[in-house]
Amino acid sequence: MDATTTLPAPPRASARRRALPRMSALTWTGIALLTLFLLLALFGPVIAGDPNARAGEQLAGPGLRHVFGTDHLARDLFARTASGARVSLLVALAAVAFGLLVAVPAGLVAGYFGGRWPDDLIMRVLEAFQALPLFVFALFVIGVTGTGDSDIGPITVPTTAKVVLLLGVGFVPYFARVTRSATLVEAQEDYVDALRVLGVPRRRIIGAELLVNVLPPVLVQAFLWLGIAIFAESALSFLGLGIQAPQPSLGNILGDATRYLLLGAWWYSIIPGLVILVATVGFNLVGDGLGDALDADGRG
Amino acid sequence: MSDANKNVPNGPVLSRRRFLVATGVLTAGAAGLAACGGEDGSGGGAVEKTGTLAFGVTSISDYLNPLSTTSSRVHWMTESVVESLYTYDAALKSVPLLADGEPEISGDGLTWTIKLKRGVTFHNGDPLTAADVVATFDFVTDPKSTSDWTTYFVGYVKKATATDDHTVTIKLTTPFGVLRSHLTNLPIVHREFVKKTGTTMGTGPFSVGDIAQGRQVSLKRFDGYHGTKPTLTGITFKAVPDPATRMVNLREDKIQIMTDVPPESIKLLEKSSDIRVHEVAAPKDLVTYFVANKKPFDDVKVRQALAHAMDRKGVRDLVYGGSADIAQGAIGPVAEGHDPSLKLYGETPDIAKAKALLAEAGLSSLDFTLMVTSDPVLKNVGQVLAQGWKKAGINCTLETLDISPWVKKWATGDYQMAMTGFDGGFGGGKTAFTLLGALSSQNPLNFGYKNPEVDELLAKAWATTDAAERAAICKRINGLVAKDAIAIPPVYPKLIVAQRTEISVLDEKQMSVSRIDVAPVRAA
Repeated sequence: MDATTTLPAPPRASARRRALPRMSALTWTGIALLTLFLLLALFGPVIAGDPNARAGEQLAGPGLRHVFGTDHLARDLFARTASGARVSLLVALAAVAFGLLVAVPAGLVAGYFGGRWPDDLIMRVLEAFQALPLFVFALFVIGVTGTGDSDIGPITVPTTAKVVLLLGVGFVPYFARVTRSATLVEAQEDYVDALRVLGVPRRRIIGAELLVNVLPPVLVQAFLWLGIAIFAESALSFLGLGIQAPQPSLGNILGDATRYLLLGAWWYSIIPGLVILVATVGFNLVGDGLGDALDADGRG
Repeated sequence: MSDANKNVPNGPVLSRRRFLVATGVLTAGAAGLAACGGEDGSGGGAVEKTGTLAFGVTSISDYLNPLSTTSSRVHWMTESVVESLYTYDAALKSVPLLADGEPEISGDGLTWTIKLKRGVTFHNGDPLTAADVVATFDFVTDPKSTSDWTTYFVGYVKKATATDDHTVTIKLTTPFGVLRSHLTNLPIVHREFVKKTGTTMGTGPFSVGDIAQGRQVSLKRFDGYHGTKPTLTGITFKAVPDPATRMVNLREDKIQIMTDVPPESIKLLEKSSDIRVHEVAAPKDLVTYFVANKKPFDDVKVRQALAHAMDRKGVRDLVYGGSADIAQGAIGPVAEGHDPSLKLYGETPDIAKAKALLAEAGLSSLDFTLMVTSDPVLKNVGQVLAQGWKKAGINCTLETLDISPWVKKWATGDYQMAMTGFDGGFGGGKTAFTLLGALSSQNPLNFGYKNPEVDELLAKAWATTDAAERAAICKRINGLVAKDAIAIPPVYPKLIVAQRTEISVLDEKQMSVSRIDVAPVRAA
């Protein structure tokens, strides 16, 4: 115990942090796009009201009364897009959070035991999951459980939760690999050897010391995957496998809109499509910027 | 930039000039091809050139046996392959086809004797005999066959037997006059094909040719046909699931007929002088069901509140683009028993009336779940209805299910209100047999609705052989069930079919009983 008290503190990520490097123009663009998306998702539904209420004429183009126009059931497209953006964002956040919750412990353990049987076991299982493309996996699950709410024993799993779980499970292998890579590097550090020599329990080394030091690259990766999650949720809902009507999501709005493209209702497809683009590009550029900042920090 | 240039692959680089030249050549080529196509098209179209007709449908079922289902999607493919004992003539009167005259019915109404036409052969050359009719009846009266047709016969038909090669005797458990209508719809299939799923054989003017499973079914002309020979040499049914692609194929003369035209696209198609769109009132019903032995729909006032708060006009205009009639009862405009004078519920939601009825039922608001099948049109209907109900303080949660889980829940009464689309023309013809059948308190699909007067009238309706009498009885039943708000479809949708004008005009009379009679089609 005496030795423990005299041990120099391990290099925390915060301690290594220096002044942020200058952000590139692309990162600023990403921040601007992300701000637009978040404003729409967070405040749009408050301003626009009920996304399912009939608001005017069917398929009216954008104008003063309806900024984004109306849809085929005469609902305000701004209200639906804003509400859909919020739903897509929440699903993406929940899916990424679920993915992290499962992947980070798995990646930490695999990385800590790098090359030994726990590493092999965890990584082979995750690789088996990774071998199955996300959409094939989603099609399989939705094919078995149907597109609506599903009853698993006494529990009813709502469609939204099902989409979150599907995406989250799909993300686990990717997050776990990043966590494992960072842990493999971190586990070679002197302070980890010192902790082992001093008899600090393995679970404390992994759960407390390694975790805080591998989190930054993992969180940057998670930020990048938020954009992918929004895109994946939209794709699932577009195909009718995700969020079901009347609850709007960016994907199911776009899915409905395809029937009206030939009729000249361009706004119905273009606007939700642009919102998906803004969100995915925004998350990607900001994620890249964060990654660059982290690399610069690491080099410094 | 210099790094980026290093990654340029070796090979021809498309310069701006080359790109413009290439796209110019391609555009000019495409325009030329289009021009050639257009001129040729006006000269008669693909049907005149090839002698075959291409029919675009949403899907090609693995089941090509018309005895396993009453679905229009299967029967559109097989209606030129198989024939029934009776058929609808040009005025929609049921007349003998494979039967040699009207059935002889015993005094107690329990024995029907039907003579068969002689000289009729199946596509393999076998003559039509009573054994084929008996095999068909054995299949559709066997509950284990899981055929849709069992609904029409089980419990009524005891046994069909062959008295001789060309005489069939049908024994009934109870007088069942509506059987005469069912015999106009039930296809007679070669006895060896009764249980086959992937193909069929009948006595019609076309036989089944090549089948590319799930994609295409080809029919070829049967030269030994006993009736008027078709001019077409073949018909090809193509699966084109996307409606926009189907419309483009129709405009490009790749198909000459398309079904399931999205209502919103009618105006777009009509802009083309080469295309004619048929909007026909047909047995293409929206059917609604309530579980009436559980709250909240055990109270007639709650159901009536729902009926009064229905936005029928919204459904007609927003979902069907006007291609539907406002509904007032279970029976639509072409079925026996339709009552055009029935005016119980408004076109737009009557909020005050709905709220008053809810208050009488002791409710200030209502929350319930409407279970619909995952068809885009039905989802839209559900959403428009929910919008209307919300104004009356009725909160409707939409539960969208694929057809299999929907049927599972529907058959076990595991729902509050359910709605689906039902193409009843090939099964029920002009009768309301399936629409009203589930309202009998004896029907296993009836969950709690019991009106003794309706039960008594239903028994009379199916017993009589007199179509006019049946229509009058069904009209009374329709009024009663509409008043009890147990069957409250918002609209009666129309059948929408589009065709190229280079082929002869399709018969809209036949469409009103769901048939798209393509056998007589010729190049116009």
